[in-house]
Amino acid sequence: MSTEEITKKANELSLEKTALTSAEELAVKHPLNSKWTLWYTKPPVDKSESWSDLLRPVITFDTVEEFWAIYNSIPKASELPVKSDYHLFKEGIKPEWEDELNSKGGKWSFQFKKPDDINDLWTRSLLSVIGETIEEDDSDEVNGIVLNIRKGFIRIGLWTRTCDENTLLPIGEKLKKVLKLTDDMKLEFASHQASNIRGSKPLLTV
Amino acid sequence: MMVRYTEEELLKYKDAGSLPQGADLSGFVKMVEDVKVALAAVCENDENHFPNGRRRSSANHHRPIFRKNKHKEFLPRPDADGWITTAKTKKSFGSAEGEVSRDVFRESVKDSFVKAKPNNKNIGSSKPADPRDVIADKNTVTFNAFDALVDDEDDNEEGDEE
Repeated sequence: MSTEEITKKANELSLEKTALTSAEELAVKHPLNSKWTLWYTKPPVDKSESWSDLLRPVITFDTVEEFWAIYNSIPKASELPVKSDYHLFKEGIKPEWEDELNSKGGKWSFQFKKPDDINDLWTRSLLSVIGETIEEDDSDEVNGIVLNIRKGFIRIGLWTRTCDENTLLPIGEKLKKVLKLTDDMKLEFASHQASNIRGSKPLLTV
Repeated sequence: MMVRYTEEELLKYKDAGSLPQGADLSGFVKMVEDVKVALAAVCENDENHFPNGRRRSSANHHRPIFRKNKHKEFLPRPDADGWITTAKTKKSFGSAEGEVSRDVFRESVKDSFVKAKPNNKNIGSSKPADPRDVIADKNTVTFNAFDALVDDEDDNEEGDEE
């Protein structure tokens, strides 16, 4: 398949409606506190592709059962090609700095050098976000979580709404446990505005 | 009230999933697979072109130009004990030590003041840099051979006609 055909298919990607409703659909589902949208950044296979062409919403869900059905259907973190990203964000928030709800915030992130258990770490991250146990209070601070697959490393970043230290520190401590980081492995928080500045130091570290 | 689920609670439903109504992820899964195949093909293509992982240095039929360092640094050779002694370069008037040198220098040139006249010969402007040159550059009356040929008598004749 040529690169043009792949690009065309990616552009045509959308949720296909069917008239059928499965039997499970009728069963009781466990609602999540928020509605979430999974986004995917496709690696560029053609130089003409822009960022907006590559970043696409995949699916939106709001129950535990729907989450697992999606999780079991899509490629695992370890199966994604290099330069791919998974983004899981609350519905209505685009996984971009420019989004109004992201622009004043930042992200807690950690870069792994090709961990063997990336599928486990990414799953734990997703569960802490959709289960909303990453936040101890009702501050509604977390906007989403991102997985970057790169040639030499894999990065997980938790995007927040603000840069408020008091709210962010407990979230950072919790994420550190979720990612199974040891004391000598530092999780860093940088505001999106500072991320534009080369060589800028992290705002917070846990 | 906020609904929360722990990791353990969520894991209990791992195998009881059902997709949102009308959702079909087969297109997405196929697209990811196609991207993987396309990227693998690109990598393979690159490897065929550059089997050693890099472009041939003489791919364009001429040798690459490797620029040599213009300023080659010569380090002193280590002594018998393996130590190297390097001399600290003196900075021009940069420190307190430099201030002494600066004062000595100023004192030495104090009495040897040289008055220099600016030379504006090659400057584009016709205005003299030194005002005294205005006098030197002033137009002077010079001998004109044609004026000398005119006879005094002609002047007189003209005067008579009037």
